[in-house]
Amino acid sequence: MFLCNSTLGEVVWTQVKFKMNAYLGTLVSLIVVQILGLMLSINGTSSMSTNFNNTDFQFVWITADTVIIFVSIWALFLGNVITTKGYRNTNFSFVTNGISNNLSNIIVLIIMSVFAGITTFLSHYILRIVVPFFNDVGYVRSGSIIDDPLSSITSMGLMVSLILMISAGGYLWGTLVYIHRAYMFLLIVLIIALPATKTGQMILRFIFADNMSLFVLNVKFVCLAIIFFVLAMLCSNRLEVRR
Amino acid sequence: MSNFGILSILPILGLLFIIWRLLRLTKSTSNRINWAQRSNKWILCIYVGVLLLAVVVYEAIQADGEKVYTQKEYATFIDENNVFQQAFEKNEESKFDPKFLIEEWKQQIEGDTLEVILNGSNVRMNIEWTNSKEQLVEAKMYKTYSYMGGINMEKEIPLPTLEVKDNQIILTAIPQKERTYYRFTNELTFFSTVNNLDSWEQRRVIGHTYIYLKVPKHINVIDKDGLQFY
Repeated sequence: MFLCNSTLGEVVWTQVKFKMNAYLGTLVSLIVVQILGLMLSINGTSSMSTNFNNTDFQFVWITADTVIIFVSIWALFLGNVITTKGYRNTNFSFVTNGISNNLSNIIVLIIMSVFAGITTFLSHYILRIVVPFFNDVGYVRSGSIIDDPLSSITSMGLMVSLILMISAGGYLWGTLVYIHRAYMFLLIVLIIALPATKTGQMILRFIFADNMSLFVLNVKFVCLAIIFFVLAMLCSNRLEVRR
Repeated sequence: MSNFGILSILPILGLLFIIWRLLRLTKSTSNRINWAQRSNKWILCIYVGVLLLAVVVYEAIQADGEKVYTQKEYATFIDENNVFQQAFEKNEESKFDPKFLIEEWKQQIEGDTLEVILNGSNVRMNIEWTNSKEQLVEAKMYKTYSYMGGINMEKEIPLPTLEVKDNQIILTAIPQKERTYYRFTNELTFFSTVNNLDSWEQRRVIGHTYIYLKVPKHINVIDKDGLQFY
């Protein structure tokens, strides 16, 4: 018998607020990761040279590709780390169950993925300013948020959904490791096996290459994230019963 | 799996390790240091502020490319270049777009020979033979649209110098130059739905420098290198 009954929504919301505060350090590590990626991007992602009317032209492309690789790895470990013992112990502060714990973790991952996606997109603008200031080279006006808002929003959405999918993968990985430590090597096996096997290549091509538009790719990422989260919830529910 | 494939995985594994350590470190630091939460909030606020400021400042930076053209505009440039090229080949001066005209000269020559000297210049030249009995030679220089990677090349590449003196037209090429440009894109190259090379080709407009001469029929035009003019 309790004086007040909390609904699932209230419990989850309280946990989300607490976890967002508790995991603030991970967002600082995101900044470090982004700065590291930016420093490695400063010389350009790709370049093209051509000769035209006795003049050699070299065009250097700078994209957020390197930063997104770093942030994706960060997301993978973020999803994984919040299932580890140290982070799991924070749940003892609350009256909670498996569902509310999983839901709050998922919401925290979504919030962090949105933050990571938007800041990764915007971090590219630091290079847009730093490169022309510190290099004595020409600088081509390129589409910005104001010039091309639709493409900017699409790119931002893509980054958010990609980070969310990877963090969901990390969360599933972490949950599996909690069930049995042998799963720790699952990711390394997957990294090696996916590009090396025909089936793996087919899966990768289906997800990343065969897309009519970026919207389709976005939808695929979100669907994969949902699948990973549902699998993680199913696995952890089984775990609660077992232990 | 090839050796290259295995080697390319190694840096990824290295990155995985570094980022994992970083996340563990931030967790342990926030456990040990009480002021970490407040400083973390400050760091996040400052970082987000810097990012938003960067977006605003970027709009104010002077760039080389005048404006970002659409694919349709590039197609129009290419069409206009082709129309000029065809009119030039057929000696249809009335169809030349006056906006391509750069400079024109008129020169009274003595005798019946006009010598054209091309000092390394790769201009396109055409002669319209007139029925005039005078010694007046007209020369016009045209330049069609040239865009590469969003840059208007007409401004970036100086024109060959054209000098008309006595019985000579001397065209001298500009010295070899090197230019490097930085270009930014919002797109992620991995997931770009368009082939970047195709897109690059569609946005490349190759223009040329044209010299159009109007020469009376009784004057011979010769070139030191043996180029024949009819």
